[in-house]
Amino acid sequence: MKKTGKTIALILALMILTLYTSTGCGKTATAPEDEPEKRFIVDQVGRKVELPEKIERVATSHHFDTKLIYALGQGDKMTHKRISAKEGEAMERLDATYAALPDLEAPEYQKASAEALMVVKPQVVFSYAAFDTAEIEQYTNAGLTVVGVKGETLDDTYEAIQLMGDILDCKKQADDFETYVKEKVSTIEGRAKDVKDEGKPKVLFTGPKSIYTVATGDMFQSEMIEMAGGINVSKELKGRWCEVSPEQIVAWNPDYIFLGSSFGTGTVDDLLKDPALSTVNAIKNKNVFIFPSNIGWWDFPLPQSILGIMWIGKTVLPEKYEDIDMTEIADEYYNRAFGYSFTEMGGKL
Amino acid sequence: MIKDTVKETIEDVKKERSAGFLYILFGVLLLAVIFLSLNVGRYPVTIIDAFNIMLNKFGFGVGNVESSLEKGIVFWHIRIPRIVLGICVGSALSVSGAVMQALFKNPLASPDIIGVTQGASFGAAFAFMCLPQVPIVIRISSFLFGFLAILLCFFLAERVHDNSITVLVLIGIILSALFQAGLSLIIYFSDPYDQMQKITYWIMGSLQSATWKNLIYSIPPILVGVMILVFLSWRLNIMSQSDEEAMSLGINVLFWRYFYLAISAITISASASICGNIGWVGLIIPHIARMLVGPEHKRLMPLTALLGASFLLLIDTVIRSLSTGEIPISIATSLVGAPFLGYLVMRSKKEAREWR
Repeated sequence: MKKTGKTIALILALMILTLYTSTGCGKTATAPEDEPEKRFIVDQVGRKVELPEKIERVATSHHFDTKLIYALGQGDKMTHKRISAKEGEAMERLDATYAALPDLEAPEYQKASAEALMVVKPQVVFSYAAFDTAEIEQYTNAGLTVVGVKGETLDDTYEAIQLMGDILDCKKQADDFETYVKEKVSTIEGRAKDVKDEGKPKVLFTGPKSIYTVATGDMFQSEMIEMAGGINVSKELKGRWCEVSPEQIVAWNPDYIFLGSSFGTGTVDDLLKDPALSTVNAIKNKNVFIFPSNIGWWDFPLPQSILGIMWIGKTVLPEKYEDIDMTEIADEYYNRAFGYSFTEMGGKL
Repeated sequence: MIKDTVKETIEDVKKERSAGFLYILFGVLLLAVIFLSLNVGRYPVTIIDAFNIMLNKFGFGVGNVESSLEKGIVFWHIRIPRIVLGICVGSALSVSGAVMQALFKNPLASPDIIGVTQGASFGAAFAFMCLPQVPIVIRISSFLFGFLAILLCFFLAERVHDNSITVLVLIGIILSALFQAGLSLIIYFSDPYDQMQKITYWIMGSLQSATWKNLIYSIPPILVGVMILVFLSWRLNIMSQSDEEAMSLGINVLFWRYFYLAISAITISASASICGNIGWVGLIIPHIARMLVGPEHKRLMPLTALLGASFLLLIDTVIRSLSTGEIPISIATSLVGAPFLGYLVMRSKKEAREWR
């Protein structure tokens, strides 16, 4: 009994200590007290948001918005870490400023709670609102200033870039980055236009669950395949990642199989050895690939996906994408987007 | 008095006969479902093609050899393993369900009541998160955790010094809750684009992973378990009486209770380890069988096995052939099973609902 009491006291003391140190941290950071000048913007889900004139402290809820902030050169305004996967680990290793930022009190992939965000005292929070706006409501109720952004299509992404440029007062960087992305997109467009429909390689993009979970026609992955010059065999399906039977895959007989969003290895070998799929072209010709990259996804989110489109093109129609050096272009893009090259960050193709 | 006994014996013989008729009927039904299942699917191949392929193999066939190779592979490596798995898992779930209902003396008992299914799910999720991503490791981990659940259940029951079934139910609830919480915790910390998807997909259950390689490991324990439960079902009649009644008949109640529990736990974990959680089958099939042949377990269990196999195979055949996308099998079993059971409950007489 006595022992339990002691343990409880210890835990309580620790809790108070943590609370004290974390609030202490918040106070030492600059939090402008009085901001008389206000302005209004309309965010990507149509909400009118009142914002302080000058913004120095920004928080994000998702890796889409976090990456855009770094791509616009506004990384110094971030109040916490929020870059996912191995890209985040690489940033911690390479970038002292990023490494010094506090972690949000939330697991890497979970929504940050409003309280966790209040601890870092942001002037504005970007919330990814393409699917639901509940998060915005939750943060607003806690008294945070929230801007909803989305990037499910290229146009959405351009809009998000411009909106961030407005809010963070970096119009020029926003224009530059948009131009850069558009330029990259234009180098892809039209490359496969003289390939006849029947000559287009058939591609199966499988999901993170298993090889029998495929990208539907509603998904950006399908658009990526079409932009690169291939045909998504499962484009007639609707919704997000959809289950199909193994027989269906044999019936589609794809020329290429991409294992999406998976860092797992060994799956390619398993597939190549699977007798059930041995008649599928992709298996026969060993055209099964884990979708890049090893440090962060290239099929999501935008605009990083343009690298994914180029990679698909280079893989399925190599002669049409001969001039593109994937490592070179990835290095260039990562330099623009994070300030470090793909190779420096540990990326490999 | 004697009259009554004679009457009862006559009744019993009558029931036995009608049960024999029902076995034949549902045996034929199962064969019909197998035949249907062999002939339909997303890839056009039928049983006639299969014969052609066999003839081709022996050198006297007709038709295109190239296309028959592909058909043969679909038929032999995709369709048949899936049918075998459907039959085995369907009967395993329903037979274990019937055993649980008898042991727990509760018509609502199903394989997840002692936490085996939750344990197996937790084991799979744990493997996705912390162990090497090899399919066999995930299956073994899931099987072991399912089995761990039953061991814990025995161990705790032993510690309580109370042999009543209520204690087992309570322990089952505790274990289920713990494993469920552990599972949710793993899902919470997992990466939503990768691990979480795999875990939820696994938990939803599917027969897609049926390949000969997987079946070699999973089918023997399932099949042996089902056989034992079906052939040693005579003790269940007594086990479903109150403990005092059973003991007064000179039966080692505890031994038999743990025996049945252990065998069903192995069967359930083995089937969960290959196709995840498939809900409802274990609950409704025993009820339907009971409405047909009554609560006498010697008659009930074989019919339960036959019905369960036909039911799951039929549902799986429909979901894998109907549309390009596959509806998860658990959704389909609940959607079909729940209303059907409701219909039967409304139609049946009160005595037919007796589960003892």
